[in-house]
Amino acid sequence: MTDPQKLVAAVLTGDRKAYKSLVLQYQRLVSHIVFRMVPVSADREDMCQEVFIKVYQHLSGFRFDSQLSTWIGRIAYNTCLNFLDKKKLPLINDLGDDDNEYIPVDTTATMPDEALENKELKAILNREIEKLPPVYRTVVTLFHLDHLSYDEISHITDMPEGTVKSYLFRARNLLKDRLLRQYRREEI
Amino acid sequence: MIAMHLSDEKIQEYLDGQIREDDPVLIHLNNCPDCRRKMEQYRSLYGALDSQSELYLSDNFADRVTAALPEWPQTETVKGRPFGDNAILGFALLLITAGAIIFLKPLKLFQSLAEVSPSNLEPSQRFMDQTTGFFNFIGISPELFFGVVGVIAIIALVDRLIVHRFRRGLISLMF
Repeated sequence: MTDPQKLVAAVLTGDRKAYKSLVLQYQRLVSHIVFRMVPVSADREDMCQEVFIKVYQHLSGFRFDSQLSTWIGRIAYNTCLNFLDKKKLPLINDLGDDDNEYIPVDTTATMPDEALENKELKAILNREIEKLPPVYRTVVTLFHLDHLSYDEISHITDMPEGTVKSYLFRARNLLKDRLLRQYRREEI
Repeated sequence: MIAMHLSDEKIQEYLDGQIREDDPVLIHLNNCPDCRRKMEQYRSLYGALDSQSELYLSDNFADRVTAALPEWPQTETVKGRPFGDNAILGFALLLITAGAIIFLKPLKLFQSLAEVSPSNLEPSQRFMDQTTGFFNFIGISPELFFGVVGVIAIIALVDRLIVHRFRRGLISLMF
């Protein structure tokens, strides 16, 4: 069962199998948000579970004014915001421009696709993504892995579309520069 | 053609599919090697980001969440009703009608009809006699009995409306 309306109706009759289908359908989106927002890996899966319990408890109030996916995504995002707030962890202030400052960006360099397909460079990319602030990591992942639009990301994060675009552009700009530096360093 | 180089934002907007076909940005991209190189750098990055490692939950995650679900009292309440929604509504309407008949005391109306058609008097008189006899037997007034029943029926109707609107029963909504 993939139709959100039928799925929600079935869950509201107390059908737990339908709820399991709902979890299977949206766990990828929720995990992407939680894994990108929450820095401590030990907390992540519990947080995902907490999100789905909240979804279950509030599902009767969902009126299909928005897509079910963005509604669930918003619950996940807000749960993470509360977590970060409680732990007093930064949301956007730390851009992680640390050890690479002294290596200039070579704007003429190229990042061959073959190189980026290389596992090692993929690992570098993942490391660089992890260095980004939580909100930057999240918008990049929602755009590129979940293929959500600016508008959908804006709905999930409750940020204006212009802010979403600004974070996305800044994150990619940082990643490009860092990968170019890294690539140059590898060559040296 | 745009004389200045394109900003990183403009190039990303182009790769995000936000630039129209007739935008001067495209002409500049075709004619400026520096901007094209930068665009290729971003294109490579996009490719890498689109294929970044998935973030996996454990295999039995959905089972664990389903097993950890709290009881849902409102669902149990709705499921646990002895009659379907229509039966409850029908029963409530029947009680309200019966209460209204007693409160409005239509006996006089029946009697006036009986003057025109005497055959109507007998069943209505018999009904009232039986009803009065029943209430005398159980020891409460018909007004009190149907008053209480009427209030219960109204609560049942309101409950149905609340269940329809909020998918929760009146009791679970109040507590």
